[in-house]
Amino acid sequence: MSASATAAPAPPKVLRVPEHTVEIVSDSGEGAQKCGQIFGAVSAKMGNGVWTVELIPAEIQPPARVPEGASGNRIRIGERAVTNWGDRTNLVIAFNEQVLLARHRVDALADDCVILIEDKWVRHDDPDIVAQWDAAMKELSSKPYRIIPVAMEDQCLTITDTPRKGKNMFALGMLARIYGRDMERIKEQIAHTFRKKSEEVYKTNVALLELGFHWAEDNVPLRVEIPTHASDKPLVVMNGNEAIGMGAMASGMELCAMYPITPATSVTHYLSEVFEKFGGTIHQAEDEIAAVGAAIGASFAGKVAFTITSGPGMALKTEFLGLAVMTETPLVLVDVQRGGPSTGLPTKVEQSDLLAAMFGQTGDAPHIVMAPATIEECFHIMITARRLAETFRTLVMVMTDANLATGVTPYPKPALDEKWQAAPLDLAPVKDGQKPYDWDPQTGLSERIIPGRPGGMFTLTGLAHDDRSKVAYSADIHQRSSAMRSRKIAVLQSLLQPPKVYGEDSGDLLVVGWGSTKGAIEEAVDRARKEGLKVSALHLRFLSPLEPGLKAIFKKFKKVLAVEINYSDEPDDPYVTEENRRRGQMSILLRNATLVDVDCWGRVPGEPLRPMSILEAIRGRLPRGGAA
Amino acid sequence: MPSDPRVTKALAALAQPIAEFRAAVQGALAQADDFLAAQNADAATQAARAAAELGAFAATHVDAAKFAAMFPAVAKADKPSTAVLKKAATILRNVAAQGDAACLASVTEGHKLGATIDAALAAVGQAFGAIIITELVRGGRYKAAEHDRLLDPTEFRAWNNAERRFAPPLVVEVDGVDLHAGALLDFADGREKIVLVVRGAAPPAALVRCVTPGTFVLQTVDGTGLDRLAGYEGPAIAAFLPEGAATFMHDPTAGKEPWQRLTVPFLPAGPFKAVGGFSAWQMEQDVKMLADLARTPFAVPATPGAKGAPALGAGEAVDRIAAWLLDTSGLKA
Repeated sequence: MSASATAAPAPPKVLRVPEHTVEIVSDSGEGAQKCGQIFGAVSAKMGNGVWTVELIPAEIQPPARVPEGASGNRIRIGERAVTNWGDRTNLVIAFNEQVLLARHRVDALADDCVILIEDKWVRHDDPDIVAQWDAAMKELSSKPYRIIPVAMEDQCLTITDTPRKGKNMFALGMLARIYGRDMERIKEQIAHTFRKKSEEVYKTNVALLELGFHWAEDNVPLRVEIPTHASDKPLVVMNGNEAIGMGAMASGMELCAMYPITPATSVTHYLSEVFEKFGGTIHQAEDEIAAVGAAIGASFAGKVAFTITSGPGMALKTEFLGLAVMTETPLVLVDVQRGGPSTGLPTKVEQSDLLAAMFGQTGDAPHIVMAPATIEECFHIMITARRLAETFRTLVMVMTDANLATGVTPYPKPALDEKWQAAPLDLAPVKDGQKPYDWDPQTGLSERIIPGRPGGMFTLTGLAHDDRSKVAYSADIHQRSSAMRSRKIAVLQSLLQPPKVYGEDSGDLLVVGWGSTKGAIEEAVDRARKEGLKVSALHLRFLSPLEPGLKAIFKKFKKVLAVEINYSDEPDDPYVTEENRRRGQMSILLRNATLVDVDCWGRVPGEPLRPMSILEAIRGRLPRGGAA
Repeated sequence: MPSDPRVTKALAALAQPIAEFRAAVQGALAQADDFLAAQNADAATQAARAAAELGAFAATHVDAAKFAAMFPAVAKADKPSTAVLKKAATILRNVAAQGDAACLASVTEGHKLGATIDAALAAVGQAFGAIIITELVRGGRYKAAEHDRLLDPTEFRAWNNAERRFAPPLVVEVDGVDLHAGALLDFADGREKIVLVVRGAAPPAALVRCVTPGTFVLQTVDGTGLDRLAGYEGPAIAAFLPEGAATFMHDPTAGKEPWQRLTVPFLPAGPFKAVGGFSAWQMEQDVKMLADLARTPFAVPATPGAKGAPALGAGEAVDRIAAWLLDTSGLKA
């Protein structure tokens, strides 16, 4: 160890940097996430760019002091907007050496990382724990980390009898001092975080915060200064799930029918506090199937409804999703993706629901699939999704993921517009001769009839039906109705604009991504271009239909590489051949749509992609010198 | 601003239903204006509208001009439809411009309470016709011969159930001499809420004549109970009376029997003096009727030593009266 908590304080070294990445890691339940969330929110409010990522163990209550139980938060703070979680961490506060090891072992820490670690374990009565500490320190010594032991618990015991619950505020105080955060803003944030608790809880937390602040003042010889820039626009700070919930309200959604599932549930945690005030209802159904059924039923009856879920839940909803398509009932489904297959990695990010979302329904069930790329887009996509669901009378899937769901970043406060909301229902008598599926033969579009409209009664059925919604199994009717449902997707594509290339319109390599990887991909591309590589990026928001003009864009590049948080075989893996190679899901889609030989690079680390990893993949696809 | 603070108090108590009515008027007006504007909108305006509806996410991904061309915001309307919609918009604009004043009326000399309320509701009720016209035109279903009369002032008795449920509340200033409660029953339907602010001497319990099973009736001298009235899901009539009048609340949700629904904090004792056409005898009868309605239907003798019989709940009363009968008949074991 390079320093002691009791050593005489040296003048602190002041580091002026454009960005810095911080982690707070603990056992589950020790509050590291709360500490990180407050630190991130305050940093954003002070005018820094911020991107936070929750480090969540796969189990709700993993055993204490095991690497797999590491829980916490990673906060990347920048002078300017931050679009992803970056590469490695510059400063860590760890509540025990095992959770620190977890981060070390996944190469999350920069070589010169400053580590503030609870040191009570080295004095523990249990010799096994002391031995674990010693072994960990030995393992950590493989890197030139700067480790500063902190007697966090001893310090906290001067204020509270339950330091396990207060250590996070002590840690927050240390961070506040090191990073020069505004203590008044932190106290406001603490008051907001613990608004449902007693005044006593608030006071204890503030006392612990100040204790940590002063301790760091005297004992941590490091200050980090990241310039701040106050935005000329009002900003909001939130995670993607809150943005989805807020966007749902802004779009005039009236019902959210759901069944709890990680990492989607917090959308409704947020909505449960506010939705009713805006006339909305949250229906927690008895299971995923009932939830989507309720949403479809409500939508059929004229309400604006959506359902949220994650991969396993979407699998359960499969039959009803087909029903929404077949009955042409508008429905928005938000899939907050996590690692799979099956129950997979409940708390970890992946983009592997893509093909299931597009093709997972039985039969031919054409529908719209969209994906936000940022937390800000999580808000705005709900407005577009609702409008398209109703305009095209179909299912719209919004594919977000655990990275967007739990990440926190500031973005411009949306200026609400009444036009985002659904127009009032027309409950007037239906026109003479109007049928439930009066398909326009060109577009497949038809006017929706809401139950209760005089003359509008019909039987809704998931069975094959004609334009009167009468069950009909004849070949020509099924052929025609299938074509009409499919045609709508083509019509939507005709209304889309070709996507814009990030960087030059031509070059050696085009990196194509979708969803939450945008920031990391573009950062990697920026670095590659600085190295002289002719690389550009393209990020897709519409996946079904795909945005138009892709083939023309691809043809201007020598190589196209789809990058995603999905598994794909590497070409040189054993037994893998050009024919049997299982490619990443996005590349399968792109190859199918464009007949271009789209390569793929995917990883499933259970965490967001790092720009450096993508950069290495880019370098690997381009021979030295850049020519493909 | 009304000069009588009781009017202000009544309007404040009715703020929610007034806001609901005004929101409906404003909403319909916005739709009418939008529709009329869209009739003459050029392609750029239509595209801007589509872009606004699709939101910021679509801004760089959806071609708003193409979207607007494929999904026009409104259907093209013919000249008669446009003309009638303009009339409807004018009515809605007038009602909206009045603000809370649209829900205020005053009985002036030579006019009757019922007629004043009728006229006020008919005027404000024109908004309902205008809302319907707006919907008809927007939906392309307007037919002049069938629908033009919707814009005429329509008396409350011609309102349909939906309109009665969404009726705007009304605060009416009236002199005590004009407090003819019988006329109020014509408006006790749907969710209509009428609060009378009574000026000068008045009969002390006139509103007892309005007590019917589904109607919330309130007499107050200080505004107590107005909040309950505002929240009641049915017709309601209240009078803000001068000090000395009976105060009572008839809340239909409080029980099946009149004496369960009625609470009477204050009953004035006579003798009464005639007020306008209301004789002292008539006032006495009103007060007596109120007392009778509020009285528990049977008297339970107090047990020796007890301080008196409490007011009873229905089930409890049956048990106790049975016990008393057994006791007095000597049949009790």
